[in-house]
Amino acid sequence: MEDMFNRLPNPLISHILSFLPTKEAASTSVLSKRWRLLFASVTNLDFESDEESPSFVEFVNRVLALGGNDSINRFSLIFTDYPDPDTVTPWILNVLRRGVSELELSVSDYPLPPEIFVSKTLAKLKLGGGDGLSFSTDVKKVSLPKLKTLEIESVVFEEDGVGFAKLLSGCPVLEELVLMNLGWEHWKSCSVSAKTLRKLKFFCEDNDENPKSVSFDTPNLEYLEYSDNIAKKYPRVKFRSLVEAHISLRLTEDQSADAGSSEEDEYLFESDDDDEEKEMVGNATNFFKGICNVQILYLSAKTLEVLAFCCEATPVFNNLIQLTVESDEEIGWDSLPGLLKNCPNLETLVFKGLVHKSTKGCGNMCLCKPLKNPSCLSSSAVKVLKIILSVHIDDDGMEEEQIKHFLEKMPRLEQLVVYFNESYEPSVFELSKKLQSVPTIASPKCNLQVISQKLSLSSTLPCALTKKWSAPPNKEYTWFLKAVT
Amino acid sequence: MTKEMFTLKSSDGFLFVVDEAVVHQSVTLSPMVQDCAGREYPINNVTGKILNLVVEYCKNHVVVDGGDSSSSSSSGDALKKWDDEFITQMDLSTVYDLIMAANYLIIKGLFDLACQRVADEIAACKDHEEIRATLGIVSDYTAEEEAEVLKENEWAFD
Repeated sequence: MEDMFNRLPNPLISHILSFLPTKEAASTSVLSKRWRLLFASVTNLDFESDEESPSFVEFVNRVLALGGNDSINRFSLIFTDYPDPDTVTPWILNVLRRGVSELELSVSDYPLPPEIFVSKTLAKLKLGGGDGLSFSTDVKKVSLPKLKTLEIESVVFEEDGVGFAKLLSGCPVLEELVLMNLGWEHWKSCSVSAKTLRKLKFFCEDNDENPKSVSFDTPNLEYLEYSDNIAKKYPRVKFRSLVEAHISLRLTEDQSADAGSSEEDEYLFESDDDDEEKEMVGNATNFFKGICNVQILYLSAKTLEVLAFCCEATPVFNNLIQLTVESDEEIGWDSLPGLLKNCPNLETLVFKGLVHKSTKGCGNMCLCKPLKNPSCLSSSAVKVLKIILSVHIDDDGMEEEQIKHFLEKMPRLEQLVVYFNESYEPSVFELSKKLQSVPTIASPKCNLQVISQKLSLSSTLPCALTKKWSAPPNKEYTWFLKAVT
Repeated sequence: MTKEMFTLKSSDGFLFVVDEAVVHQSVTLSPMVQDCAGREYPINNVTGKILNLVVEYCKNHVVVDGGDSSSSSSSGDALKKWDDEFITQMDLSTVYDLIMAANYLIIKGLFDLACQRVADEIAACKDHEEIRATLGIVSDYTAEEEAEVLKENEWAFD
């Protein structure tokens, strides 16, 4: 076979090599004389090692030296061992001098050189992995005029989070921000303030503490992912431009226990006075008010609990057109009726699972208790209802009954899609038949689709005359797969 | 709305009629929109076989690139799948030609797609012997020189 690379000039070969991890690219040096140094002119460098071996250090030194003063685009260092700062810092300073625009550092126990934070060229900065990356008081000044994307995980900000505010204020064009496990539950307050920000992911893994105070001043934010214990207070929540939000707020175990027991007390004393002031276990009212302009909303099951126990009054979500709700057998649906009533323009409602804990709030949306008031479903504007059934359909058929209940109550329903991660085809037919057997449905006409791995059944309700069997339509099934992962 | 059509002529005389949206994907060809409507525009270093593939790629990328980049990515996924199938079914020789053409015409998406394909071929090889065999490279190192190279980049060969 002819050497096709004869026709490609060196810069093109270097570009090809830039798609490979640096280690692999360097191994091409032995292919032929022409290839000996080509890997060194690649402008994307990434080094990954689990120990600081002499040969690794030599290799990185060599590659950087071979590059001379040529500009570098991307530098990534992933190191699972504890590095010697005297080895690593010169590397970082070298690439900063050479105008690096993308820097990724995943090292443990390493004080970040202040030079990183005054780079005129950095557009993307990713710091994290392991623990002990620290942003110390040595960083006197932050000026990152080109930084558009910032991802920080497990970075320790000395001075109680003051460094964090300093960092954000030095990023005048920041568009995407990912914050993970920064320990803000120990700070006096955590404020995410960035006027140019469009995308924010704010994530803290499960722990026992509530952050003292969390604020968001991000008027141009369009996309939000927020997963944390609820804060004790939310002084400022400015999300004027929010389009899509994924919220996973949690009560701590203590709070959850308190909420549960106060609920039981009420139940015991049969209090009919709904206006009686309950002392809330936490107050997230401001936060929910702040996101009330959102168009697409995903709520985790625990967020439903927060809405039920930590919100003075459910705000009105005027622009909400799509709502996805996760369900869990430990969490009640108390907050759902109030929420649905306050979504006047909701078009699509998605349930991930249909199970819930039986509480005194039941009976408005679900079948657990006989209905006291007209169901919130009867006045719902929802046109499309999508239900992702749990893998194991409960044996007593409650989920099916619940779906039938939706059909009987929702007057504007045009499409009902039930997803079933079930490859036992007869049960797909079973479910479809059961749903078709609903004698009267609230809307004039509704398309029913039951989709599983290999099968898709369509029919029109109430008249079950039109039936279609087919392989799952690609788009819908892909959507389903994404939704369940 | 009538679209303006443009005629591209490959080095071996094949004619391709394409619309403005296709032309604009090539930074090199974009300026011709101003003055070449109706006339044949020769592309002297790209053969018909390759130009055909370039046009096919651009046509498929018109719909997506014109739309807004929202976070809904089902159409993005479909396009990525198309890209994967498009580039994987080609033999390496065609891929090289495509790299040269995309480089000359400055079509970044296609250029990166083709380069990634070659990088994937290299990554799939077990060792440098296999890379040489796959890419048709003949080594001109002496035994000593080769040993030197293996030593100077020792960590890369672990």
